[in-house]
Amino acid sequence: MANADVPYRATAAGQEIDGPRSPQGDGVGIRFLLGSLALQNLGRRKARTLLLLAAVAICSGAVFTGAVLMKSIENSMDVGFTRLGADMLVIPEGTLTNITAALLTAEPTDLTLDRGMLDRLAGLKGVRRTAPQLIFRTDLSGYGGRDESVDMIAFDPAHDITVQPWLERRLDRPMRQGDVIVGGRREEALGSQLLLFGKPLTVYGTLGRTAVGTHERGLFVSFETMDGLRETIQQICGMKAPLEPNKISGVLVELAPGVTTQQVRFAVLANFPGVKVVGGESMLTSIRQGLSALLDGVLVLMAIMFISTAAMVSVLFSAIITERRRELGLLKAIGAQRRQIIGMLLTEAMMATAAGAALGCVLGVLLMRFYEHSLVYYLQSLGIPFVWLSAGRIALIAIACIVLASLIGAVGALVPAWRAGRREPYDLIRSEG
Amino acid sequence: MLSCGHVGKTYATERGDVDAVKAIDLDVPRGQFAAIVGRSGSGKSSLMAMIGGLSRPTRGTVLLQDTDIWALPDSQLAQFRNREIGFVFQFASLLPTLRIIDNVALPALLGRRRATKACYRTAAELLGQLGLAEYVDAYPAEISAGEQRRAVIARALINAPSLLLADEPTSDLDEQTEIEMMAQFRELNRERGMTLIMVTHNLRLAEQADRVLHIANGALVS
Repeated sequence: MANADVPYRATAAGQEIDGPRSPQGDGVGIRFLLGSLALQNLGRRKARTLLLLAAVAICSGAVFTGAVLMKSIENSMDVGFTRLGADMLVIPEGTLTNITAALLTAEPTDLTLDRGMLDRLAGLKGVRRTAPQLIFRTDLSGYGGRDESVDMIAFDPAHDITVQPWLERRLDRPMRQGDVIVGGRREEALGSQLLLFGKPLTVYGTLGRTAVGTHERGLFVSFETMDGLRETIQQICGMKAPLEPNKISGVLVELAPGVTTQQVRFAVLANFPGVKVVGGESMLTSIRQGLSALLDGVLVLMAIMFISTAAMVSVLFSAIITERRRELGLLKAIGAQRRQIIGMLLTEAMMATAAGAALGCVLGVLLMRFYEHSLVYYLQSLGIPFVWLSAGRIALIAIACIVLASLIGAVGALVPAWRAGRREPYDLIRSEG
Repeated sequence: MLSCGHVGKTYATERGDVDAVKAIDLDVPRGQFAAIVGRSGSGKSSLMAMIGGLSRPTRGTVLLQDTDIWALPDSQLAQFRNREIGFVFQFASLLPTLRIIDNVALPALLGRRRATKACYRTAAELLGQLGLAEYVDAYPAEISAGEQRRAVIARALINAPSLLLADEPTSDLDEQTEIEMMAQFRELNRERGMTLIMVTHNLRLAEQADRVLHIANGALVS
């Protein structure tokens, strides 16, 4: 057996040659060389590689843009549709109701419900979210002009669906105890102090105009703030019923997608004697639910696009491998292992699809800029909010798209690469594509 | 060194099975320069592919260095080819996107027995010995066919194989380059004692070998 380190007349050529620009060490050089071979193979067929990049870019760009827009639309829906009001309002039987298109708040009343019903109501099939409110009207708050009538509304900021979406201006911090939000017809400076029942409250935010009187005139505080004012209000107003602990005036209800107001109305009436159910505008409920279904459809469309990309990569790599059979056969002949051949082809596919996806994301960002300057601007001029995702989340979606595209490239190339890896070297060498 | 026992290859075609190589018995001792001569389609390349571990025989055994190569699992066979067999093919078999030095170092790098730097040092030495020192950084398309073939020989030698297989190594070379190439083979065989099997249809070239084997219709005839 010959000496492996002295292959042929051990006379040094006296020349120091650089290997691939990689650190010294077993395995590193060949990994680098096979990686650069994959990269160079992409560069060798420029037209084909550009075609692959373009196809992946279009697909990934569409998925990236779709994902960002979908998430932004979801955010906007959270704000915009809650502005359209709740789907249902559950109030004590006997309460007068103001029939308006938008269910934004209960009407002032002395009648109350037990707060304990909330958990059971939230647990009913078809109920997605519940937002309790406590509301009463008084002209003894000391706010505004002499004997001015004020609607005091307590709500739960964590479960609210109809107050905070209407915030036009607010302090740059979360709402806390001692804060008040003023309705659209009130003009108060942010951060200023209001004296209510002799107690100072900080103006946390102001709401937009809603055309719902109670909502526009209201002063909104959290249940915790209301609890802090309870004794003072009772002393000044002498009213008892709405201010008893654990009482609420009504519950605003948002329904789950696909559920009708009628279905939940019967369930509520059957489970809670002594309540009245007021339905919202059914068309708005249908639109909200319809859009949710549409977004699900977009998701399915994205999945189909990725599957079609995988199929396209697979077909393309079958052709690429057919064309390079001799090269692959040669590599096998000189000792390349099956896993190295497969790894090289998968690396090539992953590099191409990742580059295509990165290009697609850049195109997607440009497309969204155009979209922002046209449709979004138009929507906002109509007062319809469009809430973009943060730059960080958009970057995360872009990274996810690139990773996903490169994985799909690998999946697409796996079958042709596996087949090539299994073939005998001589079979590959003698059948040039 | 090399012992083939009843080795044969049958290809399945649309017109039925074709026996490319019938049961051939062949022994090549260490250090011999053997030439296998035959017309196109006689089965000489198929025989060489089976000897070189490139194509699985339909029947028979191939013992190389007392190892039944076709009994080895795929990964071990690849390793065996890498260490023990050097190939010079009839086509320009350098990878066009790699430099000459990368092409020559490739089998050593694939073998992973030496550090990257050592592989490149050996590749540079071999290229220097074969008169290609000035082309280490060149790409295959930048050198002549004869120089490419010498680079292929350097690549075949880098792992110091015990057997060198050459399949029509001078098929597309001019006469002068052909003479230089054959001189290179003889030098390898005589000075290093390397076992060499060359497949050719050119009887004049074959006569330069120690032993000439004639193959026709898949069988050794002399």
